[in-house]
Amino acid sequence: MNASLTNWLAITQEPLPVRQQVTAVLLAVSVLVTVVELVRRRKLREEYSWVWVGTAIALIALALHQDFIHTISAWVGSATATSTLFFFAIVFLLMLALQFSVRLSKLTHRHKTMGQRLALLEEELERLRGAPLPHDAPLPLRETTRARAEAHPDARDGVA
Amino acid sequence: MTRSTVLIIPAYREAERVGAVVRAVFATGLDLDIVVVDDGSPDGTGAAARAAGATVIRHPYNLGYGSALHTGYCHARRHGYRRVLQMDADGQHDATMLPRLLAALDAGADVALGSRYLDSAPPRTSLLRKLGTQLFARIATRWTGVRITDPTSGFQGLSERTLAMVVHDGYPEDYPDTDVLVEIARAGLRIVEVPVQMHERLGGLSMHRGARIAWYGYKMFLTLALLPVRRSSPFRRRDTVARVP
Repeated sequence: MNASLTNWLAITQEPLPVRQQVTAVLLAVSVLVTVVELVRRRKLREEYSWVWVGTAIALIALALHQDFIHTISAWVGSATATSTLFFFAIVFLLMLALQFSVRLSKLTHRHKTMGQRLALLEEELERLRGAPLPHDAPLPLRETTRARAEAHPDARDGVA
Repeated sequence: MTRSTVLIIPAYREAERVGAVVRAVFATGLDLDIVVVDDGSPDGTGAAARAAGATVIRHPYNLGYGSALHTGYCHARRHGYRRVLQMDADGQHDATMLPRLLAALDAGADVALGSRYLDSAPPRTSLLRKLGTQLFARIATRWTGVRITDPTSGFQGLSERTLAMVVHDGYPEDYPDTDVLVEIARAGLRIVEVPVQMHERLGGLSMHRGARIAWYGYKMFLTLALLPVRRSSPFRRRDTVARVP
């Protein structure tokens, strides 16, 4: 075994510094708490939460059991545990961005279809009423808000 | 609804021009219904078209030129029209040329494509656009097997068979031209180019300008390359909009 390989193995097997370990665990726990809190407030749908919960748990597991990260480093051939983490973080973010683009495409398609069907229905409605709907001249926003406030004086922030 | 022909005019921010276009069509005395699809214009395009006597379908927000056409096609399909004509709302297309498109449809064409390059002097345009048009004209000619000189023309007539083909959900949202023509030709339908006169825009902004030309080129090549293998809709139903209620 030559010297550089021995050196490389030594770096690979080196444990993460304690500060890094603590930072990773703290970060992962705060992500976990934030995600759970967002789901509780219904600001994040369950279907999107599992990715983040999974990531946070994986981060905690990797920080606590460093054997995993060293094994994975050896597999992918990276020199240090930190570069392995960075590598997988970037891969993860790329996949996530791609996944969001796909979802966005699907939503755009649905949004477009809904707009078109709404337009066709409104035309049908106008034909049946024999008069145009009043949307060609919408109320200015301020007047709408004022009208709503007058109709519901007890409502907060315009929520009627 | 007793008429068998509908004229679709997609319009975005054309409040000052669309009225004149609609009136010019009425002046031809052709027996057709005029439907203006207002693509969510903020400037009262819909109201102007209605004032001129057209039926108006109004998108709740801007969805793109192709989507406006598609909405018009779906309306035509829902109401059982047998022939569809389409022209732009900016005054580039001359209403007196509509009988030529109708004649081509009557003679058995499935698509009557109004071309500004066949027998009259075309309106002035930029060099880049001229080169692009020539490139896509060549591609369209090769892929459709019909000589096509003006693939980006929005001045068209469609037969009932073509209408049934273009109401699927995957109809292009922004620039439906070369790709749609190739798709129609692949389905075995007959495309015929008809010489028409076109005018320069009466004002407003062209869809084909600036960085959009690059986007147009990219999009067109990608769509054409994927045409033989692409699904027509991301969902199981392929005609969600046209579905007759």
